[in-house]
Amino acid sequence: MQSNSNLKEIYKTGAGAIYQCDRQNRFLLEFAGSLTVLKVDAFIRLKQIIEKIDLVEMANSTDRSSDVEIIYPVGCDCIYVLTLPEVLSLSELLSGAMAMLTLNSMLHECLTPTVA
Amino acid sequence: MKDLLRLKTSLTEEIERVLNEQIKMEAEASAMYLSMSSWCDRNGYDYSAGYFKKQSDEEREHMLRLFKFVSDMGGRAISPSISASQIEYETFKSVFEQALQQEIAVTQSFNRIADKCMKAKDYVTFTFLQWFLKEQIEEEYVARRAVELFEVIGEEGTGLYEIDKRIPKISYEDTYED
Repeated sequence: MQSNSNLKEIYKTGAGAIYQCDRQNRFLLEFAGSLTVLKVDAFIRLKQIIEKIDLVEMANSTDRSSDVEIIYPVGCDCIYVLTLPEVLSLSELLSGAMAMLTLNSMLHECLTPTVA
Repeated sequence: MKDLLRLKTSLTEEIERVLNEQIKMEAEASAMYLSMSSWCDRNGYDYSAGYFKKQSDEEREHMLRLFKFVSDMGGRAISPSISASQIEYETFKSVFEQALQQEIAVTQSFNRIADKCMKAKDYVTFTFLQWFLKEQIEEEYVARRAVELFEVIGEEGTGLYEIDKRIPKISYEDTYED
């Protein structure tokens, strides 16, 4: 990851990391050897897509087609073909990032000067 | 670090989700009323057919109002997919009983959303919901009055004909003065 003072690390795991670019108002997802630039709503959509994957069904199914999950958020310049452990890793990464972003929102609200 | 989440949308994920669910509920109510209108038409209840068609249009307007709000707040308003509506009904009375049950379900749903807004301290959305909470007073009143007509007029003889004629005349007067 090249040094960029506008890039802030949101969340990092062993599988990847998510950064926020304040200049472009974008998120950068580093995962599975690729770097994807995501708009805010694309990031939220990707997280919702991952959350909807039925992991129990994926684990229990003996179909070859259930060995991988193809994830293609419409409007994003990315496509993921993930195995079950990779889906879990990405889910953990996105959930962790969302928690940090929510915390960031709360801090902004607390620290912003208000009348009341 | 900028608060990109908040800059993008004024709604939390949870509030946006429940509002989209309510959009779907209103769309399904609209479809249900249209189906009831068709049943009334097929069975000779002309006035009730017109009443339910009007109700169907109103529910769609409710849906559009919610839809606009979610969009205006920077959220993702989802045009809903709706399940197939019931086509046949047991009796003329059961149609109105089902309509009343639907309105009760909508009221309960809005109460739950308002509760979520209070707990999340989203007073902007809570204020927006006031229109719907007030509207539901009228909706339940009219639906209940229609069911009560079956007791008051009775179903014997020309009762059903009289009830059908009376249906479009039910109106809610939002005043405590006589």
